[in-house]
Amino acid sequence: MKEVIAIIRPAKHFATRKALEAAGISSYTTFPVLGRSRQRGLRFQSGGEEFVAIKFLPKQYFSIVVTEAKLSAAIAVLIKANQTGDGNVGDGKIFVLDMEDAVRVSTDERGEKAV
Amino acid sequence: MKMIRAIVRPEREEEVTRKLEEAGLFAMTKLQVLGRGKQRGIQVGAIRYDTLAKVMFILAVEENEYDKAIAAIEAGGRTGRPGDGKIFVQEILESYTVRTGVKAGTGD
Repeated sequence: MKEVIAIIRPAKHFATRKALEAAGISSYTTFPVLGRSRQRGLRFQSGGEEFVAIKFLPKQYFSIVVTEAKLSAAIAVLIKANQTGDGNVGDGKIFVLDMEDAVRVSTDERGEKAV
Repeated sequence: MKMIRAIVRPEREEEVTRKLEEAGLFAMTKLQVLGRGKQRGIQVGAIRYDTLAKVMFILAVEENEYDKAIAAIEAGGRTGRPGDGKIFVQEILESYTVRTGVKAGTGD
């Protein structure tokens, strides 16, 4: 099993949910976070001098636990749903981490059966 | 690549950010969380607080940035008292930039 972490634009939150649903990925955890990347937030031009105006931007965080079989589909769906296509920075990042075990609390099922 | 999750005092949030910036690490995600350690929260008079407000930082760093990231978080977050927080680290297997769809380290 793998954990797919996607940090995306909040505006793409529901589009992402729909796309995941359509790909048969219906279980995930998501919450709003604050984040930034190499650009250090949003910059504005002021008097010819560049300065950082907004240090952190609101983002939506998805944590999706998938089986190996669904991993590449999940990544493709996330990229497709979140590319704004104008070449603008801020579309987000996707990270893949190993998930050792999963337990369904209600039935004590383990591993891939619990995902 | 490594995924670092650091849970620190909310009043040290700015300081941790500043130390990370000084170390050349600008990319990070943060969120407000509630948590406790082995002290099981805090007792103030008759009132017991089961969980305390904390800030979680999530950072993806390259192997060569790892040591300075940990050092920066420690330097920014440490007061020397219980409640300064914890840092957890996991291995990142793959990472992608959504804008380009490119997998890090593959160049295509």
